[in-house]
Amino acid sequence: MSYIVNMKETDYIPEKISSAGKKSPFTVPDGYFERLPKDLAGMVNSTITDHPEKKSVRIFWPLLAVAAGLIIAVVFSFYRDELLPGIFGNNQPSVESTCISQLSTFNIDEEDLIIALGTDSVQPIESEIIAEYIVLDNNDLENMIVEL
Amino acid sequence: MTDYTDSELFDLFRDPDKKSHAFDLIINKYQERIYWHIRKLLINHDDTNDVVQNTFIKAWKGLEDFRGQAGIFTWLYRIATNESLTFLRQKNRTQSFFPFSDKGNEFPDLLEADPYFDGNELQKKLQKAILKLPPKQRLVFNMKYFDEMKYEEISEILGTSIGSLKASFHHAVNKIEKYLED
Repeated sequence: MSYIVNMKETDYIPEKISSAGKKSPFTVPDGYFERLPKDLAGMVNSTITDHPEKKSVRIFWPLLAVAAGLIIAVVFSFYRDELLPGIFGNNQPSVESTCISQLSTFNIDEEDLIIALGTDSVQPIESEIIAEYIVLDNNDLENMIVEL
Repeated sequence: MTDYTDSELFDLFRDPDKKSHAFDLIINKYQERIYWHIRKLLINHDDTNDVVQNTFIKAWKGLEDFRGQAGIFTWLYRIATNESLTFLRQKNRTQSFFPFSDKGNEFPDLLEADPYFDGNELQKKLQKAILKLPPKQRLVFNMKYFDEMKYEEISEILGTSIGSLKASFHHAVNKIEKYLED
């Protein structure tokens, strides 16, 4: 109820406030309102002439961004091993090369190796497969025959 | 100088040959009212001048699409209000980077230093009290008390309900009265 009463009384201004009057205590530099229309007209005209330049800049920026992207992609493809060695780098030796280098350090006899692997795991190779390999893959077969 | 109605000015503006002339007429008709509306919010003349320029440049760019539901003056007032509030927000944000600034006292200090303030002690105290208000209450008080606008007009400009405007004005008056008593 009191809220409604207050709403009705909102236009009431206490004397403490009204005694200050309603006249604006602010001033402006001399001739300001005479100059303002000219200044504003000048600014409006400059925004009209600025428009085409802004458009060319808008077209230029995407082209520049595409060119920069291509340069980054090319540079990255050349130096990716150095830039991201954990992901793309070949600095880590492969499992095969590690095994070969480790085997080369030991003087292992081939027969001992076959025995160690066990005879069950070594499959015998059929003579037909060997013949097929010699005929199909060995280009120097005629010379071999001549030499024999 | 300008006896054209808003709709006549708007019709002139839509004619490509008379567009610039129509805009000059709009500036001449409304520049002072727009200036004083902004000045009462920002206090400083240079800040006000910048915001007035932004307001009219935005009006120039937007007048083409203006449908004329509200009058040109109401529309300009709305742009000026939004530009002023944006300016105040940006200023507050900038000052938050400086830890030694005291935002609460900044506006009254601006009033003391303003070479374009010509009021007596009572007017200065009233302005200091108004500057202590939150931006929306300050806006509503200025529009109601100094500009003598109706709540319906203020509501159209600010896009706020009349009930909310009445409450804001009521709170503003109470706070100002309390400040003047101290």
